[in-house]
Amino acid sequence: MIALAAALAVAAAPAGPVDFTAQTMRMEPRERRTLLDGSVRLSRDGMVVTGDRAVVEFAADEQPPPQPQRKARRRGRDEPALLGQKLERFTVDGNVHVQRGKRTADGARGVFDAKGQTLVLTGDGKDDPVLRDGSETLTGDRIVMRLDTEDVDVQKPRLVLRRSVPEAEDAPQLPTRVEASRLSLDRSERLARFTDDVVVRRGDVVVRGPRMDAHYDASGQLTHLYLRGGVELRQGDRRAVAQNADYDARTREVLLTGEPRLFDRGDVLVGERIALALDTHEVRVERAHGRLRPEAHQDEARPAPGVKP
Amino acid sequence: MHGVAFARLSDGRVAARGTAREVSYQRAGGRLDGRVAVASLYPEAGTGYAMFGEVLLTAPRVDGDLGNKRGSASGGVTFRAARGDQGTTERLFWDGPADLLSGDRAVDAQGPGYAVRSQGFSARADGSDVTLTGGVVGTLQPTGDPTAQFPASRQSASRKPRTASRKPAETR
Repeated sequence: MIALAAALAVAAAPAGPVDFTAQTMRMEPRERRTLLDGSVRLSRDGMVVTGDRAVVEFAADEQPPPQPQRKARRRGRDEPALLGQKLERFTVDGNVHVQRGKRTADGARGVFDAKGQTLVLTGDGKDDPVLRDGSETLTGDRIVMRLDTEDVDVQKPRLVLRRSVPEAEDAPQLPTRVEASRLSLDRSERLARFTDDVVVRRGDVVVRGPRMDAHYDASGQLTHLYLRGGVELRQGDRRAVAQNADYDARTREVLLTGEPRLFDRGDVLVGERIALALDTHEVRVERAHGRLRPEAHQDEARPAPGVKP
Repeated sequence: MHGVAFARLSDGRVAARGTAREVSYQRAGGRLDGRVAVASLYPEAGTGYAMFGEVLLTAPRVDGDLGNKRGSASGGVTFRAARGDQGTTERLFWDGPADLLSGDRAVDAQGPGYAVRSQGFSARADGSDVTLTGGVVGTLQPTGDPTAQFPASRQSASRKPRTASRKPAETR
């Protein structure tokens, strides 16, 4: 996913010119806007945005400081603006497609804010905007691509980390899905920070917490997930809670620390650290103590996964 | 008439003035033909063209039907504005009753922070609506810095849009 962030902003983009094509260009000076219609294509510093139509809005003129002696003259919005004025934003509507390097994004609307140096992609209420990089797909309510840095912010992200969790050849391909209220991608730190109502799903495992940091290596492969602030993990009938949960993508093991507790059909285990192997369902508890109720497991077809205190 | 100078007054102000090397006028029918016409326009404040300042228009040939308030300019029409804008098109038409200017040949225009090219245009005479048609290609500088003209390579948006269906301007 870091590659996802990297390709979004190959380089810090200066406020360079925007090249465009369209079928027609209608200028409305009094409305301080220009309408582009039909096969609209905008390009700037390696980023190409296409759509059905676009509106170019010009910024209000600079307001002079108020002159108390004189009657203030209305300026700004009342001044007609044609081309050659400072731009405020481009709004592209209809089948919006963004290409930057290897990465693509699609949505119903894209708003390029010249002052904020952002491109905000949203859906149409039915379909969410989508960001793609190879096999990885990121959707969310709102995708904010920063043009002057390499950061991406996503509101209500829904992320599938397929390539980031390499599977054994004989193991089923289980994508890791992440949902949260907000996601910030920081390429310089190789970090994806999920906040507010984070939910991670992989196979039958569901982990919830208030925030999570995903770390990547230089090739963009996920190395670790760090959940903090109170974590709950569920896998079938098994439930575990702790202050922290660290997921190692290489070993595919979750390590719970900070008063970890494991609840499994009547068993309650407490320890300093609880490690869960997601593939084998094996659990290791360090300095364990707790209560075991073997009778609760009599109906299990196979022996319970090994518990190694 | 040879060596003609003219002025157009509107509400007590000079709205336009200019010269023509040669003008023939048939009073019966109001037919007017001119050669090598140069006109300076002074857009009224608050109109869509006001930000240009004085605009200088030139045309090798002009003709008009004053009775019906229609006319055209051809042979390579150019405009140059005090703000730094300039543009060319092969010919344009004036439709007085419709309050409309239009052109059906390639239009090239550039100015502070922009360059555009299209295959035609239509515009309200008061500048409230200007539409470039037939496929448009161009460049906009987001900062709109009026002192920052594009480098020479960008001055002419010479790329033909993929969807353009008309021929570019004839070589003069």
